[in-house]
Amino acid sequence: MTQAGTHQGYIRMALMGTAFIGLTVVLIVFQPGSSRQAQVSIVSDTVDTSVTRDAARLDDLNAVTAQAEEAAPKTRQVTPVNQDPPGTDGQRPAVTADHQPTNLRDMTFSAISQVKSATTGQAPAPGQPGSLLHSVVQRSMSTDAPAAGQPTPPRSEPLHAATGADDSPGSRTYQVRTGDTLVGIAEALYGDANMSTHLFMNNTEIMPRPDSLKPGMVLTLPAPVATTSGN
Amino acid sequence: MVLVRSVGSAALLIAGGPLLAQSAAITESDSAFSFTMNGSTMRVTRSGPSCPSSCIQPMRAAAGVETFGELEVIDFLQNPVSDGSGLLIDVRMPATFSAGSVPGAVNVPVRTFRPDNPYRSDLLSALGVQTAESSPGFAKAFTLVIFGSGPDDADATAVIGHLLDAGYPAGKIGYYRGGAARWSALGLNTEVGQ
Repeated sequence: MTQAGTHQGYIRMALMGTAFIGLTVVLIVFQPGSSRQAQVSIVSDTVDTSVTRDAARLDDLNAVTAQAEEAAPKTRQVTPVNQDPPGTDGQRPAVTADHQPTNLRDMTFSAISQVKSATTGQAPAPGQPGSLLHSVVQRSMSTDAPAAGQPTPPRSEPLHAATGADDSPGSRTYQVRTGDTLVGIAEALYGDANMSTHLFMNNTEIMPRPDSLKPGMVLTLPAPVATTSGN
Repeated sequence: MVLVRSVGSAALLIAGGPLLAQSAAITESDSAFSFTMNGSTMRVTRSGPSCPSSCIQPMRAAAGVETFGELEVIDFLQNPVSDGSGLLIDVRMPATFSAGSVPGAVNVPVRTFRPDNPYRSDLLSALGVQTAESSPGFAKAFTLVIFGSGPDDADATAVIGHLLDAGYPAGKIGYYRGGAARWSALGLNTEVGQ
């Protein structure tokens, strides 16, 4: 009786072992995951070729200056899902609608960075005068606080304009937009990330914590302070 | 309907006549000029490129704007550009510019100078104009020499017009009428992909 029981146990073990080895062999031979990887690489290959084809076509279009004007609407059709400039074009959508603002914006700021690098030797860093971020911030400030009557800092001189131009504490405000951070605002307005501390200290009545920044909040801007950052 | 069609075909005939003779418009308004010399009438016509895209530009782009030749452009590069008070500006499209342009030229396409560009004030401030919208200060503005693809490129003169409209002083604007076409036709070198 016990003899038969141990025999049955051996047979069961042998059967399960055989099944395990068989399944392993099947998995090794067919490798169900590998075919999917191959498909992915094929897809990325086709994407690559279409990209290079597009680039070549653009060169052709721009070969003649006169045709470039006609080419512009075509490229607009290609990139309609491009990101909208955050709140900057809302003021005049009727004017810019026909002139593909994203492309015109890129063209303008690449031209500006060329002018800057030709005159000062380096392209403006993000947040500094001449950069898109600086432009967006200046725009939001001039529309949100027109009554302040403070002249906007001259933008021709990098850094000095942002840090040393105006010494009027508390007279200027900045309305927080989606995606803003304290450090980002400090860099854009003062060219100095360390000013974010002063920015927070100046607005503790509306911000309980430094990370409680919300879109629509109106920050009172402190006077620029010389922080120890090298920048 | 028939009347419209016949009028249309007549207009096509009239318009098609000069087209077949390969005479192209010279300026925006005139496609040919005639004059009399010793009693006989002579005509100036143009073949090849046609005006709506390549209109021949006048020698003076605007009152007070100086016109430059190649040697003056080189002198401009050697002095105002070298000491950082001047900029040579190529107004062609970026792809054309990167294929080769005058050494030292900076690409600022014509579209960015238009008044309907919402970012034009940023561009002007990069050119040294102080607070472009309300009370522009042009004391520190760069001296500019503008050029396009050639003497038949209306873009360069359009840019000069836009700059003057924005208040840019005419004394700080120059016009290199020959443009990129004349520059390379004379065998002068170009810089690729600046």
